[in-house]
Amino acid sequence: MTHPPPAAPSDWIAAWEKALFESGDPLATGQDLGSLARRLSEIAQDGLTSPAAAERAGRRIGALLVDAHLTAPSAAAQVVVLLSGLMSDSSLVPEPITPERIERIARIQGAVAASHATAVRLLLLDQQEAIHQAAIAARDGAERALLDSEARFRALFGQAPVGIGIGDVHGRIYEVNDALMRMLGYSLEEFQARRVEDFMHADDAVEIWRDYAALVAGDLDEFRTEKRYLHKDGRVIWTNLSVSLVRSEDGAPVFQVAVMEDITDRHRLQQQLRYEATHDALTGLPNRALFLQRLDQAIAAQDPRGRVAVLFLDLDGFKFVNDSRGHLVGDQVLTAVARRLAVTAAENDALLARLAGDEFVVLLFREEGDLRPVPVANDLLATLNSPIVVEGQQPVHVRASIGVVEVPSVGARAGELLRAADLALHAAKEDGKGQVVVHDPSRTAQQLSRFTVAMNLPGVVERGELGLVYQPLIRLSDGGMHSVEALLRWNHPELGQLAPDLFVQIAEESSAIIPIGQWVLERACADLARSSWPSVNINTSVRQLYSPSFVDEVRRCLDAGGLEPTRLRIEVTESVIMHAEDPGPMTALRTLAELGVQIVMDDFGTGYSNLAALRRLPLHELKLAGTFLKGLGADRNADAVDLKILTTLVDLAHSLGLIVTAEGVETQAQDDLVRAIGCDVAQGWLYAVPTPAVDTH
Amino acid sequence: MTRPSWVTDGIDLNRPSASRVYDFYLGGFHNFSSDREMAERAIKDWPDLPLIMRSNRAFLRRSVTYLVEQGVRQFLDIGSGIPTVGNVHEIAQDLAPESRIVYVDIDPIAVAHSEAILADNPNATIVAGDFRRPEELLADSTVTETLDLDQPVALLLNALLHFVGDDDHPADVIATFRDGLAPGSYLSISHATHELHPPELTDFHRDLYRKTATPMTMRTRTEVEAMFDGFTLVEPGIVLSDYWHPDTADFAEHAERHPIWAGIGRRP
Repeated sequence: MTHPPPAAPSDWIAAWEKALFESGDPLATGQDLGSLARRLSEIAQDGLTSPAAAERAGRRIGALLVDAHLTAPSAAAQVVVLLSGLMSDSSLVPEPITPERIERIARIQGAVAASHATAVRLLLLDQQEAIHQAAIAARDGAERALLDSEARFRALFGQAPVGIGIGDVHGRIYEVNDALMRMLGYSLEEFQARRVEDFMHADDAVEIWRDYAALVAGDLDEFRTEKRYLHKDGRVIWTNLSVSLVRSEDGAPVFQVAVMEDITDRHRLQQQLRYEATHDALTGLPNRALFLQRLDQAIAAQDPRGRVAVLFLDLDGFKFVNDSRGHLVGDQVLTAVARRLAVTAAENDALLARLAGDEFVVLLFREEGDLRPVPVANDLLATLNSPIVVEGQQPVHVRASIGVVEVPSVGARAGELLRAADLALHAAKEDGKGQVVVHDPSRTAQQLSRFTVAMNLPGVVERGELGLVYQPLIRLSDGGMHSVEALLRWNHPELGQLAPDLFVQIAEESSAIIPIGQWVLERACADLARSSWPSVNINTSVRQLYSPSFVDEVRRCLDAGGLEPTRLRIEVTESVIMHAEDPGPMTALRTLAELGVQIVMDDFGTGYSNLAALRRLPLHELKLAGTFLKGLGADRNADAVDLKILTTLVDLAHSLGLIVTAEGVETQAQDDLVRAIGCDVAQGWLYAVPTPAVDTH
Repeated sequence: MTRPSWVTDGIDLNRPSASRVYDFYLGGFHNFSSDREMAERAIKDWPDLPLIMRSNRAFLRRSVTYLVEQGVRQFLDIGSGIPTVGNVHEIAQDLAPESRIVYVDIDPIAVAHSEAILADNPNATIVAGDFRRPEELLADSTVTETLDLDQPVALLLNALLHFVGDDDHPADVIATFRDGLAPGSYLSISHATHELHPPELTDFHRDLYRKTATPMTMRTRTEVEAMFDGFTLVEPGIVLSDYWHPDTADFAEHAERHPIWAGIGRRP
């Protein structure tokens, strides 16, 4: 090298810069292309000194281009064209153009092309390698994620306590889990050999397969239902089934996933509970609830030509069967009766139900045509003509009475129908039993049925329908007030005021008497506290005496009114003697007596009239039943004997230290009589009628 | 354990990917034959496409430079694609080495490649994520560990939104990002438009992208402007990409041939 190469002229450098820019990545153009252009042009000029320098310069330029991200083939092309300027441009080439120089320029050009291509090739290989590595890494990552999710899925699928099955939308089954195999008893292969439709059950609801068709068609994404399946061994398996549709990325239906839970036991229990709730345990007949439901349905049908009939059947004197042969036999007889009645009912297309005890009821309903309930009733009675044979027993003769009511179904009311049938039944009983009586609407509603009472008793206290009236008891010696007796009244919203003989006995048969007795006790004590009465008599049921809290309640009521215990007189009936062996009621009575409460034997003479038992009770007073007085006066000779007996009875009571009260004194003659036999106290309309508390003052 | 026959593989190299096609337009070799076939077919009908992509790249460079100059040091680049030369972190960290960048892409291969490229860069990272799930992205642990969301962030949506269909309500998604970013944050958008070219050309181009996982939706300037709701546009507003803060006047001589609306907005 004899002299330094000339500096590149600025316009040539500018030409380089333009070429670089046009061939480059615009991001790369952010770098200083001007200095690159200057550098490259200088290298090119350096290459003119020798063939070896030309080679070096060309390789250098090609590599620098690629380093500067000028990788496009056009970059090499542009540079090669630029280099040609070295051949002709006199400003760049002060010396004359020689063949050596042309050869060196060509060497530079060739080396630029070769080195650019080589560098680009390396870059290409690097980048291809990088993107393939990236693809492999991405695929590995996806694979790993898939395996992880698969492992989770497998664990879930395999160990799920619910049965899971996967199939396609053509009904082919691909996968089932262990729970499903156990549930239906088929192996995986057996499932895969079947189609979803093969699991159709003849009794499946129509909706199930309608929904299924919609699901596999893609119109429904999910449905839930209860469905029964047949286990491989033929058992019915009830399931809670949920079927979901799985779609492909483009939304086309692809798979179906069924998840099912075995609810066979729950289903069976429900069926059983439903049956038990609507059927009588002893006879298996529909019970009151189911009967009322069917009756309501018949009425709700609202068919203008429809007619409905209710037949109320009660066995005559069945209590005697129970009492004489025991409840076990009684139940067997009832079952046999139910079976016979059911056959006849079925022949007449009627519903037979057992309401309670020996009460049965039959429902007849026709949308049109004649019901003919009376022939049906006679058929029912006829089935009982032959005696009922219970193993190990003498044949039992059972008779029944039936009350019938028949009305158009439109406008009928269930409660009224039952009441009417009940009234007719009572009429049948009164007519001498073994009868069929059709309800006569003109019959007075005063014949209050047990049924109506029993239906209305619950909640009577809460509804505030009870009231008390008070009847004074008069001392015969001076006409002064001995006490008052609290008499219970039921102010029924529809039936009016009802006397206790209409409902107390029914209440005593159920637990309804407890809240009623409690209410009487509270009310009477409260009224006594606000009155000037010497004392108050209240009637008490034996069932109350059995209540462990009764004595405490008495105490509480006395305390609440600030009352001396002696001002409360508890009336019990002779039936309490039946329970004299029972510690509960006796203890209650003794505790009350020790407290100072007066114990009164009510209605003496109507039941057992067990004089010996009087001694064993802590009594203070004896009330002679009003029936004694009613009997007197009809026959003079008989009267004389009765009088003698009564006088002896009163004497005996006096000898036990008891006050003797006569009830039901209505006439002056009766007043004379009770004085004659030695009674101390009398009660009756002759002296005063029962009145509410406020008027008694 | 065998894979259930009804589970499919998520990665399909026979399907072109928008990010690799873009790489090809820019002269890169990070692509597969399916990408190249599609790109070559597109270039045959629309020879300007490589230039259009370069125009977009140039906007990216100028916009990041501008943002660094405004003091922004945090970047969330969604739809970053295949990183070649001169990516956001190179530009930003060259000007301000403390700049932190989170790239986000939905393409697993782009993500894997970015991971390899960024392995040694503590202040730049890549997250596999979906622009359409802004809540998830803003709560992503990598995002919150790299970026302090209580400080301004530049949200870069370069050449992304024309791959988000109207059904995905891109403006609503942007609004969610906006509400999750601190005041003083920036939004940068470049978006392909069909307003400057005959419909035959743009429709054909759009149809080509139907084959990819990311079909195209080109939008008007008005539609792009609506995406800046809640942001104050910096000068010169929304313009063709070449007109946005050009380096020299003659760079914009072919601006009309590059149908990209570009703009930057600042959240007050």
